[in-house]
Amino acid sequence: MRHLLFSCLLFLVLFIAVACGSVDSLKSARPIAPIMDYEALLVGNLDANYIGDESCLKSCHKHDKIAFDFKHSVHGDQISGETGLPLVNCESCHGPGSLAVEHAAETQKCAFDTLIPLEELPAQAQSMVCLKCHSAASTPILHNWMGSTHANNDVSCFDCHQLHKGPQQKVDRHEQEQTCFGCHQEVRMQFAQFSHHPLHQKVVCSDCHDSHGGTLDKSLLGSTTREVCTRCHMEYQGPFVYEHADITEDCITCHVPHGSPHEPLLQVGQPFLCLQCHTGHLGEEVPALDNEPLKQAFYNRCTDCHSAIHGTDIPSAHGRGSFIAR
Amino acid sequence: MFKGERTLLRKLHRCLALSVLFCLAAVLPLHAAMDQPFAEDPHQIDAILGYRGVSISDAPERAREYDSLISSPTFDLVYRGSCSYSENFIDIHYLNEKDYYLETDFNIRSRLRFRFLNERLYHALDHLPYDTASEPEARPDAPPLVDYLDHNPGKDYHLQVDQTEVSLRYKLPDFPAHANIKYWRWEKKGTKQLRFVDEGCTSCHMQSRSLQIDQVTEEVTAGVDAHLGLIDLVFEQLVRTFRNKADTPVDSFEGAAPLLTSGVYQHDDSPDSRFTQSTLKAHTTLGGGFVANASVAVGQRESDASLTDVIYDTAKTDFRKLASDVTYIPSTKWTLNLRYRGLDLDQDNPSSVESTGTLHESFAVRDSLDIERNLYEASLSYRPSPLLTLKGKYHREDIHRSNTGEPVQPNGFANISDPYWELPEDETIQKMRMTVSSRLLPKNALKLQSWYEYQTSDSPAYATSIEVGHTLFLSAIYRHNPFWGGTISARFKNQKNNGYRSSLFDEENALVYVNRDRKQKQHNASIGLWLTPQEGLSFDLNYGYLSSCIEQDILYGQTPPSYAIQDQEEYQQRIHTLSAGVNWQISQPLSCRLEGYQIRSKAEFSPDFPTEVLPVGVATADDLEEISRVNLLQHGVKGRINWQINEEWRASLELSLDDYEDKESDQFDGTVETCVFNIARAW
Repeated sequence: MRHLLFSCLLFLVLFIAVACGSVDSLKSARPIAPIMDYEALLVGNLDANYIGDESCLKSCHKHDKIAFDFKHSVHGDQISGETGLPLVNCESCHGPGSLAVEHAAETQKCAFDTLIPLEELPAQAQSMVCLKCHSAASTPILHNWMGSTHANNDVSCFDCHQLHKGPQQKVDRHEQEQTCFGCHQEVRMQFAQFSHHPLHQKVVCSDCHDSHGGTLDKSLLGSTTREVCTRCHMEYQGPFVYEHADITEDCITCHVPHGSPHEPLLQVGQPFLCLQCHTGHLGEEVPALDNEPLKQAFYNRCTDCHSAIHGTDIPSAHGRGSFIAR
Repeated sequence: MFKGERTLLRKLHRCLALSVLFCLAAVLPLHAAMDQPFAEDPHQIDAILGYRGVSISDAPERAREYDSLISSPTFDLVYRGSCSYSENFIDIHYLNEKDYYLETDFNIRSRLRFRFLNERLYHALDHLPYDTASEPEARPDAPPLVDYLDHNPGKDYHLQVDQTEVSLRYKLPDFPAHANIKYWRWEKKGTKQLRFVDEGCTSCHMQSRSLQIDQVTEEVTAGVDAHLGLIDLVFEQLVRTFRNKADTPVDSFEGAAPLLTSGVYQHDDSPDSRFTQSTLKAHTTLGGGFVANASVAVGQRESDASLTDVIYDTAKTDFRKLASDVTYIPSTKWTLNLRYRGLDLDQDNPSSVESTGTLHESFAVRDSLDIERNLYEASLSYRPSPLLTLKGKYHREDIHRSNTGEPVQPNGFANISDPYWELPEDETIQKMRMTVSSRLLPKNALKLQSWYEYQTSDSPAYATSIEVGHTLFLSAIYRHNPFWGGTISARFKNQKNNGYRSSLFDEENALVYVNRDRKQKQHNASIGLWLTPQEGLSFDLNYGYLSSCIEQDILYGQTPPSYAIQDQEEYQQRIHTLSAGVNWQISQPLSCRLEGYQIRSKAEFSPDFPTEVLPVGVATADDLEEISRVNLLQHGVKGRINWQINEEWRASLELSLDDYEDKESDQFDGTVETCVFNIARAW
């Protein structure tokens, strides 16, 4: 109940702040200490003028497909200024185009070298092409972008988002894994193993990772791996009376989420997995190393007996939290 | 809060969320559509109708783990177009009634975005044979120390998972602010194998039975985000609930007098639970030379278990999370990043539980760990030229765990024998990484990256924690040449931990510590190549090698010196994955693709302690390696031929084969063959 009241109060404060603000001043982007070298790159050719997208899209049939795709994309409404939304047209990204089309009627092609050389810009400058508008448009998915692993390893928006590939400008769920595997080749190999999450149209990379930056290492969603994993595997969230120490906050102590030769997605096979931290069974009442059948029971799959290994509310017969049925 | 209150609150939340959702869906499109309608545009439709035939042999579950293996008609549809006020997208993939995908997106004048997703997937599960009885030679005249019983022999196990997501994002008419609401549902139904033990008086009864799975996870997320000039604000409220609709397993236990009387008891429960979180985020305008963000989240995880055999107050966890990043880019040559992450987990479990049928009415329960974690990270990048980036990063993680320490006590009943967690109270993990990245060709045609990381922990908490670790990563990505390109990467890890020890009580109940020194090496390498020797012909190849070798002191037994053996054991794992394919445009309307793969996986635990004569018998390392050895071979081929009949119609035929083979046992060996014929039309 406390959380509900707290959240309502925050909502109200936010709403009042928004309502009281001067709309025009709030709508603009206000970058702090803009990087003048990048700003100069993104201005475009100073000798050129803006001519409007109709001079590009409607005067040449070669752009028919681009025009159709863009019209039906998430940016589609913004290609015209009539909707009142911020303008996103050809020149918003490619720069003023008057010089590009100056001789197009004779040569039947544009002079692309007079436009902004987007593919040759540094990664940070490439991202700023997009951030110019997305920083004035409230895009919460980019909250962690500037401090993200991708941004700080010179990965730009263009590396994943192909704006002219088709109407789908976000990375499609069907194509996500191939986009990620283009750089993360090792992960492709991990998913090829026998025990794996069902990648391709079922589970996708963005179900666990936030490619725009997350709060956890490896750009994972959530603040602990337990939080990431127990969204789908919530039967293991608990909390339980008897927890498996604090490794339940870190599922990858035992599991490897991409792929493994050990069902279910274990780092190493049992019993070695458990023997790394725990002692094996051997004692007066349990001569577990005496013969093959006993070894089959006590040194095979520990979780056959310790079946509630993720945590339990039920004590064992001895009154301890041994994750054993009874 | 009583359970009745929680149930009511849950219902209120659900009603509220669904009401808001429907109101938005009903009212906002009308409001958004009051502007001038779109001009009608041509629609794009691509529809595919087909039939898939499936043939299986032996046990196909591991050959195609996520395939329902039903012969059936198939249907695919992709639609994109616009109507009077919205851009519409529909994507349908229907394989059969157990496997389908549906996604719809409606963008109503960029004012309202509505998305609906519904998919079903199938997961085949193993049924491990559980019907062997053991007859240990050590006790020829006594009942077997271990016996096995499968209550449902031969039963097929599988899960059906349904995912549904509905989301709405509404933008205020003349202001960069949005209201968002999302409903997500994850439902699992089916049966799986539950293996458990009854620690009986006469022997250990290992049992297997079918466990009914009927679980629903529902999540409602609502929030607002706004751009307010200098800063952006985001607020989000999340409520997630888990309901286990199946009954808790109940079985007959022989009991182990006097500890547990024989009877029928609940066991292996998956309790209902709840997760709530409120998050507030703020960040300065992106794209500047100075960008800062911060977020705070508070919430709770609550168990809503309802056992009848155990009486107790359910556990809950309160948490607080902080996160902040600062990025300073003074010029194109320098970038400084500072990062902070804070986590405070306050776990509250009951101090005692009452369990029916046990010797003592009430058991004391050890307090769960409270965890406080603070993470600090700083990285500095220097770009002396556009072709080269040098980066240094320092990472420090301070972890504080409560309720840790000594003394521990010998095993006892009713009293807590280990009132504290034998973990370090404070642990500091430090990492230092140096990265060199280079772009030797324009347009990112050739990217090279290498980094080295050194990691330490002053008090590694677990045997698998890293006390000292070295990691080297190398990669190259080449995409310049229209004829060929590729990606290659290699990772080398060398880790050790000599700071972990196990505590035991000897035969005089004196505390004894045993070191568990550990070393681990991991070597991974992968390569992906593509080649286009001529127009219409291309090849691709992917190969990966994943290798891990662990040497660790393993302890067998819990009462030194008579019943404890320590030895440095080795665990090795090696995986080779290979896939290759060719695309060939045979003629203008005819093209084909042929691909194949093979994966070899081997793992073995090699205990090698010498034969020991103990008071109860002879302990040997024989057979242990064979029990845990893994030796798998998976391979498959797929061929597909496409025929573009004319501008609108096309057809395709695809044949595939997948095979799984376990060299150690044929229990799960199997093959799946499929044949898919499709006819498609686009307009």
